[in-house]
Amino acid sequence: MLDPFQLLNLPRGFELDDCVLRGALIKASLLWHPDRFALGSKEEREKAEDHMADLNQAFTMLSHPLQRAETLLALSGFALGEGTDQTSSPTFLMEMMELKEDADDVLKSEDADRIGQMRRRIQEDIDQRVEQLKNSFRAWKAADYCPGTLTPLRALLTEAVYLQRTLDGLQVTTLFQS
Amino acid sequence: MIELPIYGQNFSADESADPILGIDLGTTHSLVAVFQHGEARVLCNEDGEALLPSVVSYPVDGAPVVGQAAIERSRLDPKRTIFSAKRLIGRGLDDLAAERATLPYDLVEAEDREMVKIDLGDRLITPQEVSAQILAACRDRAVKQLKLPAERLKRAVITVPAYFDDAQRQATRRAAQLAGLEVLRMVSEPTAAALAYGLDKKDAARVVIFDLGGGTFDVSVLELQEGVFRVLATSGDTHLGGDDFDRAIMVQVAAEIQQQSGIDVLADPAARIALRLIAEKTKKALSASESAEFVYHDPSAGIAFRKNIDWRMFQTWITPLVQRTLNGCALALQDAGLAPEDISDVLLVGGSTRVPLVKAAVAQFFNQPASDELDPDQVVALGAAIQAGVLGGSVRNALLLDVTPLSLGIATAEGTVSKLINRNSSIPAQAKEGFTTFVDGQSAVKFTIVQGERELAKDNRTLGEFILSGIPPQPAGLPQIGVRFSLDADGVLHVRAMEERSGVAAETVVTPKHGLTDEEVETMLADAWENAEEDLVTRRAMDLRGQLKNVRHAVAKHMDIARARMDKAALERLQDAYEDSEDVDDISDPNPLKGILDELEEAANPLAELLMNQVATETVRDRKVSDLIDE
Repeated sequence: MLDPFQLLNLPRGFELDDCVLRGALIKASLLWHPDRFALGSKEEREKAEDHMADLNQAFTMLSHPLQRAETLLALSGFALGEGTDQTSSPTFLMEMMELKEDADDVLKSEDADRIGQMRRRIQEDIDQRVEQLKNSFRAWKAADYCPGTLTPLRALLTEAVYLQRTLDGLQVTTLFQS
Repeated sequence: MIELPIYGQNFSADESADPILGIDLGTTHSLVAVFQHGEARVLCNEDGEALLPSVVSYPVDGAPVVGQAAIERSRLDPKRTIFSAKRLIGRGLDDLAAERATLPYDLVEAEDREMVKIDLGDRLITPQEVSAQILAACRDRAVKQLKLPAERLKRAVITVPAYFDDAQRQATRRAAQLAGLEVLRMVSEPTAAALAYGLDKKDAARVVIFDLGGGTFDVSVLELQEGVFRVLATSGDTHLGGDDFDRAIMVQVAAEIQQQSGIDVLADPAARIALRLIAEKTKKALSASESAEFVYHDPSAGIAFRKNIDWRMFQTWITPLVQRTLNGCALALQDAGLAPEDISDVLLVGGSTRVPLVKAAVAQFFNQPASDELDPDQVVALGAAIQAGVLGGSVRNALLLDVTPLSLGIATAEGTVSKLINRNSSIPAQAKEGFTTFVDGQSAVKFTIVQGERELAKDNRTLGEFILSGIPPQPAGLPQIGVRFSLDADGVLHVRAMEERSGVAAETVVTPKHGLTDEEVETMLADAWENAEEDLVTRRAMDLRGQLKNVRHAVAKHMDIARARMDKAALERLQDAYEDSEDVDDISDPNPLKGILDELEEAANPLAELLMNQVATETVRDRKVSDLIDE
């Protein structure tokens, strides 16, 4: 698996400032963007094209905190969603099902204010979990990456991912006009 | 864009190196510019004209004529004088239904794919060929002005509209190839404008590019953040521009002439052209002064017309047109989710933004003055030249990081889209997805590649179909087909598929529906050399015989199903067509071969439908392969 931290020359960790990440991409782009090899040989250009695509992908993998968390778990061999994941509480699953139903209703209403309100509410729930994830990752690191300390972290992340999916579903697709 | 120390070792500015051309390939005009001695400049012809009309005329005998000379031939030879090829490039006849009625020349659909061709009467040409002539004329101008041999001016940066899809970009690239130019980079027009204005030196900006040309109106909203340009939204009207302003003056004047003399001058084509030219001159005069005199004499018809037109009258006449451009701005802002006060810069592009009313209306709408320091006709070409300077290494501290405006994916069996590359991804980008087969022994899989944001495949634009064949026979679900999308820095898509499990690699590249295959480009290049025709006929006959063989093979294989389930008349037609196509090895003329193939294919259609339905019922839910063919 591609290690986005290594590619962008960033320390592996959950807490990552947006500006630092963007700066890392720009720094790498100045070296590797195919435009820098416009006059080079075909092989050089292809190599640059491939490498730049990897860099862009690495950027995408790290730019969203939840995706970054999933990437970190996967890099350590504990990817989310593989095997039986009994980490979410039944209460949370019930809540999620209700939320999903509410979201469908709100979306059907086509009421921009209601959709906006609900989006903000879900976003707050996600942000709260992202904050908690920071602590969990710190605890995991403090425990020298012991797999035993991962259970609460995984539960938290699973919940946040569920919420994010619901949020994504609440988007009115804006189309590219031509 | 951002200024950072460069760590690179791999490039150095070399002023003696061959210049890279920056070309604005426009709908009505094209320009060519270069970056030399630290600045971008537009190249003019001997008469000091920077604009090259994007018009090509094809005399029955003799070489094509480009530019002003082609316009002069248009009255003589309207069906062989091609305007606005950019409206046609990379598009199919279906896309052009509305366009077709407004064009003086004829369009036809190409045989196999949907790409449109232009009918000159004695032969067909493609929009790519027309654009290639214009690009070659741009290069010729550079050869003269820079006093360099053509071999040293083979590389170019070409601008395209932000909304151009993959097929239109590929077609533009082909046009350059036909003109003998290597495209180092395609840049979107609004991004080029932002570069020309040096906005790359800002840390963050939200820019509106208001581009009102002769016949088209585009408005784009760009976001610039630390070196990355993102197109947030584009809107516009493909039939709105300065020509409409001329027409507005002409219509008013013609009405007055009719009142005075009782003559309908617009009914006479020659008078119409004369009036249009005077109207255009009047419009230009009104950009510089408060009033202008409209004088039209036609002694043969007894018309002597003279009228003083002031800017207030002109304003009244064109207000509805200007309002339409503002509606476009509102729509683009709405799409971008922004309000006028969120915009930090407004740039004016296109000759028609010289009209004071336009400038004032835009400034009022965005509540800030619009930048007009650069010649609005030249902005895009200058931006292209700056990008050429970046690629050549002369401009060291700038780098254009672009994003793709539309998502790319594969249509699934359920009619939805499996997205491989999301919109707004930084390019170049690559993505891979795994697929497999549905039926035992299936040897080929067909993928439909789509571009767009809609959930259903049918609502998006189909870029092309892509068949992977030669898969060794295996039970259904066993083959592992990896499909790889590579979107290059120009936003052009390359697709490769490979069957990995068997170790037997089959590989191919996507053919856009509206584009040209490499083979076709080769064919066209070959066409330029004289005696290539015979080879072509032979090759075409060979291709057709090969296709016939494949169809016959498929029909033979499923004949039992045909006998059992097709109705009698259709079955007889199929059997006849099958027999008729048996002995074709002696036929060397492609035309009868094509006839036989068409008939067989048509007769086999009901059988194909039967097989498709059968496959559909066998489809396992949630499998992604869109569709399959059976050889």
